[in-house]
Amino acid sequence: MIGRFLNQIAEPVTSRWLIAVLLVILILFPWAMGEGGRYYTVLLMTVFIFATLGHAWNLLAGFCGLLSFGIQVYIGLGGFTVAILKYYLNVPVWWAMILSIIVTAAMALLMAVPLSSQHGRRNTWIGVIVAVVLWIIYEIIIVYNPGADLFGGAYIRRVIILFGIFLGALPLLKLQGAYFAVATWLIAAAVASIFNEWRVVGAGGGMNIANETTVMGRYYAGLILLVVATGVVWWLLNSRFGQALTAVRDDEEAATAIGIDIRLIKSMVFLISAPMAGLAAALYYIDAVTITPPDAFHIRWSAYAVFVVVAGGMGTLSGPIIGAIVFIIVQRFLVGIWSGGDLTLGIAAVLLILLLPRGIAGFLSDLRESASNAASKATVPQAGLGASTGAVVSVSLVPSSPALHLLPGTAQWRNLRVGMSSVAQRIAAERPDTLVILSNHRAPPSEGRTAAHLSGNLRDPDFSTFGDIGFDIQNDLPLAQALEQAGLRTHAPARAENVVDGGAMAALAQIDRNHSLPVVVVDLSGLAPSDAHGVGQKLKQAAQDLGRRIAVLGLSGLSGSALKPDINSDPGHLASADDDQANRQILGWFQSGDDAGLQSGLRSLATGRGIENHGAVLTAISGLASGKADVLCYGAIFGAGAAVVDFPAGSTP
Amino acid sequence: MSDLPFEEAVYWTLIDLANAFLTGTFIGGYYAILSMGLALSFGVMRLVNLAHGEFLIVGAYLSAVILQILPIPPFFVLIVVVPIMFGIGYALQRFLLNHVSVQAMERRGMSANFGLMAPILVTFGLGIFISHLLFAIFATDAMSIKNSLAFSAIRLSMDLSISTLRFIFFLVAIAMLILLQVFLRYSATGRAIRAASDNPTYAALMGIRTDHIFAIALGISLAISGVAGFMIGMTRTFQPFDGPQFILVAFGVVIIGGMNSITGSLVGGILLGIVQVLAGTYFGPSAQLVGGYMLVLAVLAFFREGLFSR
Repeated sequence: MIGRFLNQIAEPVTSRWLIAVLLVILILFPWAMGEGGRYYTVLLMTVFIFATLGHAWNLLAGFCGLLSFGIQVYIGLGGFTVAILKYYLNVPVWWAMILSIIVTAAMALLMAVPLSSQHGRRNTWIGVIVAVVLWIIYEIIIVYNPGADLFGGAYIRRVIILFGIFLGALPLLKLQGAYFAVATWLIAAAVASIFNEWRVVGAGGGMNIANETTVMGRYYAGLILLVVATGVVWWLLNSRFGQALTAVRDDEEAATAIGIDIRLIKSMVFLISAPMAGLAAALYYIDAVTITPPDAFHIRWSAYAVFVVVAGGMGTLSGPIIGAIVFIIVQRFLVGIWSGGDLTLGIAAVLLILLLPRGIAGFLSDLRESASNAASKATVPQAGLGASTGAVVSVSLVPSSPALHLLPGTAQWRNLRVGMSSVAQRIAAERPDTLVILSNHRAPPSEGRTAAHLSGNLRDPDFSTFGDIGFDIQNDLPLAQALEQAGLRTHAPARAENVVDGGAMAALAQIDRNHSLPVVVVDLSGLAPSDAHGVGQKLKQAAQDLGRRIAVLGLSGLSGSALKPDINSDPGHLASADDDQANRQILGWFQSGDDAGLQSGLRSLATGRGIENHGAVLTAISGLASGKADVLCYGAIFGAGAAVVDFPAGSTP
Repeated sequence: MSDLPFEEAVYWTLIDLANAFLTGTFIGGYYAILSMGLALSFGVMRLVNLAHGEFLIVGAYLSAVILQILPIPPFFVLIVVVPIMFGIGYALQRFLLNHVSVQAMERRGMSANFGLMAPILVTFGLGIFISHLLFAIFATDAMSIKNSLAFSAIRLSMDLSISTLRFIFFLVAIAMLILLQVFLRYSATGRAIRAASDNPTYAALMGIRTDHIFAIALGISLAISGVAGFMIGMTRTFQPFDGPQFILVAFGVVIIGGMNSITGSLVGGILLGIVQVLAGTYFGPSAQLVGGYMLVLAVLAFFREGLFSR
């Protein structure tokens, strides 16, 4: 119900009106509250400040994947710029606040260079040499004219300049993940320790920003700041630039492939986000009046920003605003109930990630989605309980290539994965006792050949370097024995002498993620298709004899899965149109439930198309099925055909 | 000094340098123990443990409190502290962090980036919680472990000496390093840890219980932190809110060495130690910190994943 309500709000016309009304309320708020409501006015201003800070951090993390722990460097610089301009030059604080943009942007620029990716290192060296020469000239000038020293002390001057050169030389934006995070943190810590020693900024004692602003003035400054920041983020997301940004967020490699200059985009966002944080900090310290280095450069600021963004919803426009409200509620209101704002914040952070990992904005959009789905979704028929005695309760065919599981991010295989998961759901609904995997075990399906593509993920396809690690998959030994007595070759996992091939392991991980089902692998390799046809009968018999409800999973590729040398580097490509036709023919037999057609036609179709090895599994599955199958999806994995097919199980023989 | 083959000024320069390298190297051992646990938990679980500093302090308090109750020689306290810390680590990973790990977040459909962030936020919250808990129990009175070694030194020559404690810790660091490497290389659990860190998904496919393995890894990480905390207590006083000052050192060391390299943390520790002492000797005590940070940034400028990253 809430979801439907939210959907109504999200209508463009409604939402535009809502935003306008909200703005009017916010503009009138301090007037309406008057003197008595000062506390709430200040509180709202704090919300504005932290929402702006959240926007700045969200731009980096949510849209660029740059997890920064150094946002406090802009907090300190923004605040101290205002303090210095006010104290030494008596610049009005509002002007000083605007001027702080220059300082924070300059800092961001220093960190983001070198931009060039082609001549990065050479340009860096040239830059370093030029900087050092300029520095020496500056030192010489100071020897003759001490008044030229703007830093107030030889040691601090040298440290600052040296540190600046280090920053300029460091290709910060090229760092990955945790390295970037810690590097930004270290930079902030270094700046903090410089500020701690620097007499110009009070040598650790901090500075006063004595100012004549009113609560009302600061409130509106905050409101304007937030509106502008939100506007900038909105514009960024809706411009052409924003499309590139979203592409980068979703898949960096793919974005590079279509010609987006990631480094430029990241640098731009980095440059935009810095003044945003700096301005928020400037306003915060104008309100707080005193600023000290340990406070302004504290890692806490980054944690606050993370909290705001994660609580609200990362990578969303409304996230930081919602998050800031939550943040202020947690930090200010709960303090009264429980001592220590930071303690409450710490616990809230843990609970939040556990309960609402996608933030409140994410939670709300889930609600909306489920509301709109509920309206359109037809009722799903419940799976019947079936016979209580043993039977084959489900039959399905899934691709045997482990690539599907090992390269989970591959967009071309999305439909195959969706198919797999729907098979998983159907099997789970049947509540089988045992999962029987029909596999072409001896020729591990296309593993060797796809290994080249999997190298990043799969260092060692057979895991031999790790020695003989036993696995925890349960087996159904009685069933395995019954099947062996019927003349089948089985591999029950956890029997020391048997190993399960990678394809079976990968499929198992998708179908039965928790390894909750006992597994028996039936090895059909080397079996003639005509013999394989009888496998179904043997399975049914064994299931009945033992009173097992078994789910059968045929593990097989289609064309080109094993024999063709053609493996294109494009994961979604199929080797040839001829292969495509053959695959469609096979799937056609399945769809029409034409078991006889498959048996007679498969042999001629298979030859030369790399389907030979799968003939046994395909025939066995076809023989087991009764009636028309449902082809859930059909695609290609590295040149080979692959399909997910769900068969009706003839539960009553 | 009359029998020296060179002038006295040169002698003192050399002594300064030798002292810096010696002290720096032995501080390196101390730094390595501080950061080894961090490198392990990052290397295995991609966990950026922001509560690492607080765990060090927990180790320090644990050692100090036990020593107050039991009148045993200081070093024996480790027999109790290390298992307790291991237990804390195991339980923490098993019952909390496994639910918010990179892998768990990916399973819940979050991006890998967010997966990195979730544990960061959780451990940040945890760190705050721990320091406030310690504060509630011990208030802010500075504590330390009283011992006879704190002020003793090994004299190498008239003007060269090293702190006995630092020397012992250096040996401890090397011993722990070797032990850990042997454990990871040759034991079944160690192999499972390496498999799980290489590719948790595939390790799980092979039937490795990654939840259990990760819990063991954090247990070991915290056990090492217990030793580190004991070390902190032996050499200086500590308070509940001292955690953050250690974590930056630990991160610096780990970055120099490479986030997932345990051997790297010894080399990183030594490098950082030497640079800090050198900066302190020649530019004054305030240059120590900045010098260290600059070293880390310089290493990052040339080796984007540290010196020994796999």
